[in-house]
Amino acid sequence: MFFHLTMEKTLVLSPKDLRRNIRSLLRSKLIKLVEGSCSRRYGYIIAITHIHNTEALQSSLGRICEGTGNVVFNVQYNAIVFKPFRNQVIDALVTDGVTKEGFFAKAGPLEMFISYKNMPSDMQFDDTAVPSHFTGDGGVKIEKDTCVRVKILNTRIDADGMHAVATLKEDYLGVI
Amino acid sequence: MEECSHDVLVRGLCVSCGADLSAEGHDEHHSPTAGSGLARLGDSGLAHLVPGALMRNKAKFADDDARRVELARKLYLILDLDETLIHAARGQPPAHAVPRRATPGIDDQAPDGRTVEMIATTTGQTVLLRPHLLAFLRRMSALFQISLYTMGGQDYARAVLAAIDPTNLYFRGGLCAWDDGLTRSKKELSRVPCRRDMVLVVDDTADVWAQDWRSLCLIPRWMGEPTDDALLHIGDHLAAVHAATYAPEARAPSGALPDVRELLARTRPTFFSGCVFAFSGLFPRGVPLLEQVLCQLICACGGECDDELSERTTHLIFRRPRTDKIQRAALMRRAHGARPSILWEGWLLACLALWRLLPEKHMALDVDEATGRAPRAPGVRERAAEPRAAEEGGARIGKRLRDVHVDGEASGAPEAARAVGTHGGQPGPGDIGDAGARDGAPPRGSGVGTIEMSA
Repeated sequence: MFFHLTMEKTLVLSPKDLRRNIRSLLRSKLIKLVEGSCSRRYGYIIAITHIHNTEALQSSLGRICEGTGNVVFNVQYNAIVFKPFRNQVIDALVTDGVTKEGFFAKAGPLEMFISYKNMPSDMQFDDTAVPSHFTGDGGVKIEKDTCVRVKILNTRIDADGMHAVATLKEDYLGVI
Repeated sequence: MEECSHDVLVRGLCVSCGADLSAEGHDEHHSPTAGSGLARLGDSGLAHLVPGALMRNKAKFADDDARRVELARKLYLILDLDETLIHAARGQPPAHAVPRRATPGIDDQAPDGRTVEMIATTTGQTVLLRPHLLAFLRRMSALFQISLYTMGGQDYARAVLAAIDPTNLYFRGGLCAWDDGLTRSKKELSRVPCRRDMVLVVDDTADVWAQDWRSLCLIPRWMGEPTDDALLHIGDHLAAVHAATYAPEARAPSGALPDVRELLARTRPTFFSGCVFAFSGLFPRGVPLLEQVLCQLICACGGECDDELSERTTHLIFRRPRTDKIQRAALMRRAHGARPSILWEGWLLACLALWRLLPEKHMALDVDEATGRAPRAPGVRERAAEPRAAEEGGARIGKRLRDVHVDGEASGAPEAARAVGTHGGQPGPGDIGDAGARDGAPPRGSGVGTIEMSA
C-alpha cells in the first residue's frame, strides 16, 4: 500500500559545502539519500513531495559539530512510501527466473517469489518450452513479462530491498 | 490444515506458507529438527534455479522433486563439464576450431571430423564443444533432468553454461560448482538434491566418484580433438538404461521404479569376463584394490583385479612405461606366449567408456619394447622420465585409440609414432595444436595421426 508520510532526516554538511546554495544542496542531498531507500518500518520511499523548513534552514537549524566543523541539519519532509503487507493482493510482473520451483515477480521495488506449491493444481511447468513457463487450464500461461495478481503471504524488508513470498492459490488470483 | 515443513526458504521466508525463519534458532517453534539443518541451495545445485534460496529439508525436497521427475517419465542425469562436454582452450584457440554458427532450429553443425565448434564466453575463455554435444543434450533432456556438476568455479561454470545453453533449455536441474572450502578431489551425489536410485552420472574422471561409482558412466577424456563420437555412444547407453527403467515389466509390484544403478549394471555388458587385470603405476600401494573406482568398474564389467602379476594375469595396465612390473610381465609374456598383454591405461578407460573390448594391438607394448630394446626412430628424444609428459600420455593415447577406431587403419607416420608411443608422453603427430613437425617427427598426414605400436 502507499502512504503519504511526514518524516525526518539528519543531514551533515562539511565545511566546504557552506556556500550560498546550501538550500539546494540540502535538497539534492536529501533526495539522493532518501529516495529509493528502504526501511523496515516505513517501507520503500518512492518520492519526496515536500521539504518543510528549508526557509529556516540557512539561518537557525544547523548545528556545528566541534572538532570536525561539520554542520548538522534536521530536515522534515513529506514523502510517498510503498509498504506491502501480509494478505495484500497486488499486481506484479513476472521477471526472468521462471523455473520448475516457481517464479519471481516484481511490483515496483518489491520482489516476490511464488512457489509451484502456491499455484493452482492445474498449473504445470513446461519443461521443454522456450522460454520456460507454467501453463494452466484454458491456455493460461505464466512466462516472463506476464502480469499476475497475487496475494502476499509474508514480507521481509531490509535495507537491501523488499522481498516477499506470495500465492496464486485463491479465488480471483492469477494471470490478468 | 497440514502443518508446513518449511522446506525451501527464499530470503528467510518459507516459500509455501510465508513463515519468517530468518531468526532461525531463536524461535523455538521453528527451530530446525536434528539432522535437517539448513543447507544452502548453492550446495545442492539449486541456487541456479532460485537465487537467494535456502533449503531446510533436503531429503523431503528431493522426494518431492523425484515425484515430479518420475511423473515426467524422466531420470536425473549429472554431467561433468570440462573434458566431458567441452574443452576450455587457454591462449590462442587451436587451428581446427571454428566459431559456432548459431542457426535457429538447428543445434549442431554436423561434425565433419576436421573441425570442432568453439564459443567465446563472457569471461573471455574459448570453449571448444565436443562433437555432437548439442544433439546429445537435446536428446538427453527429453529423457533426463540434467544437472551440471563441475570442479570449476561458479563464475566459470555460469559463463560456460550461458554460452552453451543460453535459454536454459537443457540444464534444468541446475548447476553444482566448486566453492571455497570444498575439496576438489571428490564429487558427491549428496550435493545434488535427487534420489540416488534415479541418478546417472557422466564423467571422464572415475576417482572423484568413489562413493557413488555405481551411478557412473565413464566417458573418454576429451582434449579438443575433432574426431570424437563418445557422446553418441554414451547417449545410446543412457537411453537404454532409461528405457529399461520405464519398461512396464521393470516396475516393482508396488509400482515403484527400479533402482537405476542395478539397471545400469545389468545393461552394461560383461565384456571383461575372463580377464584378470594387474596394474603398474596407477594406484598407491597399500590401498586395497577393491576400493579403487576403476577396479570396481572392471569388476562390474565382469573382469577381475589382482594386486600382483600371476599366471592368471591376462592384462597388465600401466600408466608410464619402464617399471619393474612391466619388465616382469614382459618376461612372463616371453615365457608363456600371449599373456599378459601390456596395455596403456587409456585402453582400459576407453573400454570402460565404450562398453566393449577394444582391439589391443595399437595400445600394447610388445616384449622388446617392454624390456627397453625397441628400436627408436632417429631424432626422437626420449622423454618418458618427465612427469608432465607421462601424465599427458594417458589422455593422448586415449585419443589415439579413438583415432585408430575412426580411421580404421594407420595413416601418418608409423615409424616415428612407434618410438613416440613406446617412450611415453612425447607428443604424437596427431596431437592438437601440434602444427607440423616436432622433434623430427614428420608432419601429420590427414590431420589425424594414428599410432601403430606393435606389429
